[in-house]
Amino acid sequence: MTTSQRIIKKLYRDSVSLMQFSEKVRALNGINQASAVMATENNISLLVEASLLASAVLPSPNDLLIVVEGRDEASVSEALDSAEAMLKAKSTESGEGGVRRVPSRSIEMGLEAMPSANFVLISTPGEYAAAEARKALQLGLHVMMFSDNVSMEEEIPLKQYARDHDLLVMGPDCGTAIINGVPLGFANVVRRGDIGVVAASGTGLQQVTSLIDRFGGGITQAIGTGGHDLKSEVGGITMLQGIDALAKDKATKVILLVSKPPSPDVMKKVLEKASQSGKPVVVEFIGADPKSITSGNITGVRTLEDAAAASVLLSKGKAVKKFSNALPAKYKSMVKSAQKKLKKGQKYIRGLFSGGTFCYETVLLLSEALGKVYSNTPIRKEEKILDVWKSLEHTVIDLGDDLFTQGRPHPMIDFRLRNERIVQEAKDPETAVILLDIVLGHGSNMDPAGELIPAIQQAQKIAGKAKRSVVFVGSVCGTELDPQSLSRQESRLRDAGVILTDSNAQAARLAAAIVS
Amino acid sequence: MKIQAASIGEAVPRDTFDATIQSVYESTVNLRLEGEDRLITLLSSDRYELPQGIRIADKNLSLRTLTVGLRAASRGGVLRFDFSPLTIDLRGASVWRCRMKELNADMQSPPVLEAWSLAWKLLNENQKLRHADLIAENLFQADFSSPLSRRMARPVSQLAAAAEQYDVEGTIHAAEEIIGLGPGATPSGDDVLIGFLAAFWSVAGEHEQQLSFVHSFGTVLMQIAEQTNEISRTYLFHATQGQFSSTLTYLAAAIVTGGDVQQHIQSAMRVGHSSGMDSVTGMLIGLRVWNTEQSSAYSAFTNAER
Amino acid sequence: MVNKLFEQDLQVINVGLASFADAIQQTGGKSLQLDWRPPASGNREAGMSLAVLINDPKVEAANRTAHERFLSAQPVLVGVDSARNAIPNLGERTLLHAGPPIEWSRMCGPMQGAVIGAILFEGWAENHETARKLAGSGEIKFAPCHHYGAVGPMSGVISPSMPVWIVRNQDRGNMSFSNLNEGLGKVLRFGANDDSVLERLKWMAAVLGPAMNSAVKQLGGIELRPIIAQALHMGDECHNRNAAASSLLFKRLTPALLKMDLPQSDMSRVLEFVAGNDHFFLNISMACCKSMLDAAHGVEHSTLVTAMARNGVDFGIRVSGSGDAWFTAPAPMVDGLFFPGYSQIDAAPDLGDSAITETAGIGGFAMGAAPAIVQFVGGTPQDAIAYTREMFHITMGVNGGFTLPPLNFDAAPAGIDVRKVIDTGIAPVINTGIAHKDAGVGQVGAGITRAPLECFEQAIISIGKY
Repeated sequence: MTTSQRIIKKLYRDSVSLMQFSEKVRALNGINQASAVMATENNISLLVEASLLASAVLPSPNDLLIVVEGRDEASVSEALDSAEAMLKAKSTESGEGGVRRVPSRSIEMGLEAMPSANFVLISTPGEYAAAEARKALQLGLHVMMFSDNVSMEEEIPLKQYARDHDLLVMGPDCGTAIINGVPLGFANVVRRGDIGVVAASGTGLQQVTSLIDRFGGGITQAIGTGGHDLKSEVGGITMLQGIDALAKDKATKVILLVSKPPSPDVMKKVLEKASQSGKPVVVEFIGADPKSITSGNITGVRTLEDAAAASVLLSKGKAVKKFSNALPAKYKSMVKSAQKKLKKGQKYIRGLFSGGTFCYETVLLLSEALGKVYSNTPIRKEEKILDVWKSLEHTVIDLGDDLFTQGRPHPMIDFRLRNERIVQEAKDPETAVILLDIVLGHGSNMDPAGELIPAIQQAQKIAGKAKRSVVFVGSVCGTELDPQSLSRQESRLRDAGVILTDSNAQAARLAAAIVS
Repeated sequence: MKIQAASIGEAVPRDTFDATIQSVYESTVNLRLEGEDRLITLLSSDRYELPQGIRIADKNLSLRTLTVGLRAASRGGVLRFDFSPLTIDLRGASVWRCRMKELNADMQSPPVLEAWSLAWKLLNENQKLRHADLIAENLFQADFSSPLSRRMARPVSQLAAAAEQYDVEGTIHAAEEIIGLGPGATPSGDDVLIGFLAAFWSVAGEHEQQLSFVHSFGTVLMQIAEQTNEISRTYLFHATQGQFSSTLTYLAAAIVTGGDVQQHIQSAMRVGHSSGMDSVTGMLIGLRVWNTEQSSAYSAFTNAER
Repeated sequence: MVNKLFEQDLQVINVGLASFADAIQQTGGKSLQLDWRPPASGNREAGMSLAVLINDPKVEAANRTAHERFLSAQPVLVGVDSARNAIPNLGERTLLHAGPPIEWSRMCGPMQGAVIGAILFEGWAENHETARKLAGSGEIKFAPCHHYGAVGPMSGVISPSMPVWIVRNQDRGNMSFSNLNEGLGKVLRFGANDDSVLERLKWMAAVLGPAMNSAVKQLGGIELRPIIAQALHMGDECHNRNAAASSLLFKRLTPALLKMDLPQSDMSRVLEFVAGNDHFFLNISMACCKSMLDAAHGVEHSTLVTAMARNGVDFGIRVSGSGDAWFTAPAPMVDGLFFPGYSQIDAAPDLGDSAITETAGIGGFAMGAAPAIVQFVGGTPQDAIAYTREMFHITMGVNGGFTLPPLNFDAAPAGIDVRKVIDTGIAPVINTGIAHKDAGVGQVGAGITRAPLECFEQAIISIGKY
């Protein structure tokens, strides 16, 4: 028989649980007697009287004393080890106070389970999103509202509350953001770097961040504001907060802003804030004249690609070159070979988009090159397409429009609608080019190429029967680290005959060149 | 279980912060602030105020349910802990602001000197009665009663003398010999230094040379504070900012403004095992460093320097 | 603080699409997926009301005040007297009943039966038929017990001549009352009103009440919380199981009774009556809970629930900061075990003021302490503990005075917060007896039910309007 003891510093257990615990230790292999007590003077003398403790030890009432008597040295020391492990495991597993780790039902319960939480991502149906956002803010947490269908009446007080409490509300209808390198919602896995982005458009944000990655740059933060932020009613609250935060952020060297042109009063505030940031700022107000924006530290650009390129140049301390509106030389040969495949009468571009901003940018660029472009998101009212289900001359459709998403998943996830439309366009003898965007990243379809290729093949088969061939042009928005892998998606699409450019803008220009 | 903080010290962040539980005692818990070299201390509201303190009123509360190494976080003014149902609302708590810097003690005024002498007498009596390791007047006498007094005597005199000359380097040199000296979570040497700082701040007022000396001394002191433990370093840090516990502050105020010295020195001396007495020792000696007519007690320790 | 976020690890609470939480974890962030559903069953007005009240400093402060008053209450049983003498402002020809307000015509069978019995007991009518007529005539005033500081189990009918327990909260001085328990079988509270029931009531008024009053007075009053605390350690939850508490009370009362100068026959009937009723303490437990909760009622902005009560038709709650308002919904049916020969079709909807015990954090909330109860209400001892644990998520805190052995002596959850009920969708659990839907049949089973969330939705909308 041998006895041994161990003191566990600053560990408190009540006497009832210690009695139960002592029983457990006693049950261990080779142990006859065990006692766990708080090391008070009284407890120590009791143990001495019971001959479990050879001699008194110094009392230390905040420490826990375990004594065991067992067969031999080995079993005694083993028992002490497992006793200590049991005590320590308990304190982290179950906690105290009897609160069961039931699944957290509310944000406040979530915060009780994860006290260090600092952010709430909300993707509930829109009618409940504002209430959840409000709770999050009142609990001191930053918010991203992926949910859409939240009214401006609900959005404005949320954003004001957030601004007054120095919290961020991204959204509502904020599809994507990257905070501290973590992609939120639909987002790409982008290299970390020194470019900070604030964007009102989800796919615009995905395009610039993916291109920054492609061009060898990286980002600090990519803040989404949601589509209403830059309307005068909201006043650009989130974008202004975003600029402020990036201006103060030591890791951010260059700031990039992306949006459709804001209302004039908000534009003024945004540019003012940007000019005070003390850092180079690249501004892409899609469709606005870059010259009206460029001044001082602010560089206006024309396309999302130029925005990414300018940001990367600035972040590397290089001067921003003047970006050309022409199709880069490397694509010129592709134009020639594509044109050769077209029959007479194949005159029109049919753009089928899953990303709203990709669609919008395309409409802008094609209009510039070709004139009239029909769309459900036209730049001129008279070019609004009357029947969204049927193309007319040059037509570019945003399939992410509410018209198409009622009761079905977004076209970045569910390709059925677009695939049907591809086949439909191939039947039209006037279709020359089918122009596509392919969006990778978290949240998107896990294999867009796999979804598209059968439809492309079927389209070519139908066209082939009429002795025609359709030209497919597109761009893939994504990065190598995205779950779908940029290079794998691109090579499979190329193998299927799709002409791919680096960016959406180049795809539009290339398509335009083919039909010109 | 959500409870209300009764008061929080001025150095406690009001809104968002993250921390790790650094230590858990019977009735206090220390939290290490993320990214900062200082602690926040949870303690019961029947205890004194601390610049880094969060005092909680609930007597039934057992802080021992918290576990060292787990995380704590404040969001929207509410402090929560990993694996604990305990939740502390910091909003609405009164904020303890230390007024030591505003005392502007006039150590030449006879009533103040008289109050000082009373405090000095009470301190020494109490230290002897409790067989303290450090007895203030022994620091200036030849017959040292304890090893701690012996270790402390020379550097304390040197510190006082160097401070009198606004000699930052000399003061630090002496401080280095006593920082971290002695047992416990707040070593006696550190408590004495905290006392000195309390005295310097309370005397300096608007006095430019003295203020500049305290600032410089504080800055350099924090550079050598690595030599002591984390809990004590937090107290030293606040002392260099002019932030002290309520007990020490009230005692200084009582001496300087004619308050009840008897009462306040008792509560100041009750803090900890010997911490309270040690910091009172430092403070009373420190109060006599500048602008002081030679008094009997002061001559006692100037004599000892020789 | 936005910049502070950039320096921290991103830790996300994810409300909605679970795939987002997975993506966050795959890319090195931390996320916690909520088991979320639209609060207030999708009622947006209630949802928005709730949102602005979450973590609101004014509400938090009010709740702390209310909760503190609730916890520091010291209910003491001080005596027994007729309702007429004991209950302030109780008019003649007033009958108190359980639950929220209800008129005669809507009352459930057992309550109508009890009203008729009470009218006969008071001698306001000659026979059942005239009593029924009188009840419907408008000459009798009906009011909830709760409006008079009283509580009564099942139909809860209290008439002026009935003896009531008197409980005083020594902390704040508020008084509460409950009638005396008649035992099981044919009893007024289940709507029985034949001669045997009336005879018993008369005896209780004439003999039992005064005897109890003298005994309690002789003891100088009886502190009630210690009895409940001790009973919780003996397998009671003090709503549906009062075996231990009744025994403890009997132990206290008997020596005092024996010192009294009572005829032998009265003495033995009193002792037999008390000893033979395992629910004798229930009404006292209820008055004790009422005492604690009334102390917490009336704190402006507080979302503490101070009463849950049912009249067999409606379920109603009251909230500390909402004054005299009742928030009601149809009383639910009780999911339970039935005595032989009875089934769900015989049952009346949930009935009685006894849910005051759950409101105060015992009963269903302390079920973990009463594993034996599951034989009676169904389920396993583990279920009982799970119910108690679940209730921690809708209460403001715990009652340190009431600890639960099977939960490692953790304090019982106490103080229902309307906000938490709506935010989590967890409805308070109630552990209760089931009355036969027809008057006079009695108890047909026992089981577990939940307070209807609708009541809480109404409450949150009303509070949100302040």
